[in-house]
Amino acid sequence: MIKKYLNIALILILLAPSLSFASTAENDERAKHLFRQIRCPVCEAQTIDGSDTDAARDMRNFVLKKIENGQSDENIINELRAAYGDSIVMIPPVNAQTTLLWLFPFLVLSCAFIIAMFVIFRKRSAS
Amino acid sequence: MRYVIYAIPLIALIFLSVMFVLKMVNVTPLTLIDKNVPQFSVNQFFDPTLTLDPTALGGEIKMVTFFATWCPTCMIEHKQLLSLRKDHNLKIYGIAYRDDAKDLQNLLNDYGDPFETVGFDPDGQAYIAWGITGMPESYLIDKNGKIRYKHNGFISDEALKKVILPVIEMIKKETP
Repeated sequence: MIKKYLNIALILILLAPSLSFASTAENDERAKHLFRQIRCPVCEAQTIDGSDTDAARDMRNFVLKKIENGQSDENIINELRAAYGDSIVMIPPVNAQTTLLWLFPFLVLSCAFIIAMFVIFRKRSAS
Repeated sequence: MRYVIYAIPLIALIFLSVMFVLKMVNVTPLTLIDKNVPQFSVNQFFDPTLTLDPTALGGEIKMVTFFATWCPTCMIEHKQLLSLRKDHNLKIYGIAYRDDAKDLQNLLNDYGDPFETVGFDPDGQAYIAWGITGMPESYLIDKNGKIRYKHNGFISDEALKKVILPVIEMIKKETP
C-alpha cells in the first residue's frame, strides 16, 4: 500500500516540471499578446513589442513580472492606463471622449463619397 | 454651390489641423494631474539602504524630476534646478533613470547638488509608475501630496520665470 502511494508521488514529482513549462508557455503567450497592445511611451508609433528603447524594454519586463505575480491582463492594462492614460493602449477604448476619434474616418469617407457622386452626376448631366 | 462642395475637404483638413495643433500643446498625457503621488519605491543614491518612495517626499511643496547624466537636455536644466533650490528654497527629489553611480557623483561634485535626495531607477519601475515618456520630466507636488503640474522637457530660463515660479506661487496660494 505504502509502495503504491510512493509510486504515485514519484510520478507526480516527475510530471511537475512539465506542468510548470505549460504555465510558462501560457504566460509567454499572454505577454506577447499584451506587448502588441501597449504603445511604446517614447516611440508612440510602435508597440513595446517592436520598440528597442529602454523604456519599452522596461515596460515589457513590467508586464512579465505582473503576469508572474498572477495579475490579469485587464489589471495590467489598467495599471498602465492609470499612469499614461488611454493613449498607452494601441486601440483606444470606445467612450464619450473617443466617439469623434472613432467616427471621424467614416465621416471623411462619407464626405468623399458624396462629393464623388455629385461630381459624377454633374458630368453625366452635362453630357 | 460647386465651390462649397469642393471646399468641404479643405475645411475638414483645417479643422483637423487645428485640433491636432491644440492637442500638440499637451501631447504627452497629463493623466496624473490632481492625483496623489503614485506608488513607487527606489533605492536612494547616497544611502542604498534607504528608499525613496511617497512617504520620503516630505510635506511641503516639492518637485520630483526624472533625469539622467546621459541625457544632454537634463544637463542643460541643472543650473535651473540649482536656482530653484538655492534662490527659491524648493525641495527637489531627483530620480536617475538607468544611470551610472560614478557619473552621477561626478555631476553633483562638479556642478552642484540641487537635490534633497536622489533615487536610482535602474529598471524603470518609477519611470512607469510616474507615466514618464521622455527626459527630463518634472512634477510639482503640493503639500498634500497631490500632483499639480507636469513639465515636459528641460526647464529653460524662460520656463523657470514664466511657468515654474508662477505655478509654485499659485500652488502656495491654493494650499496655504
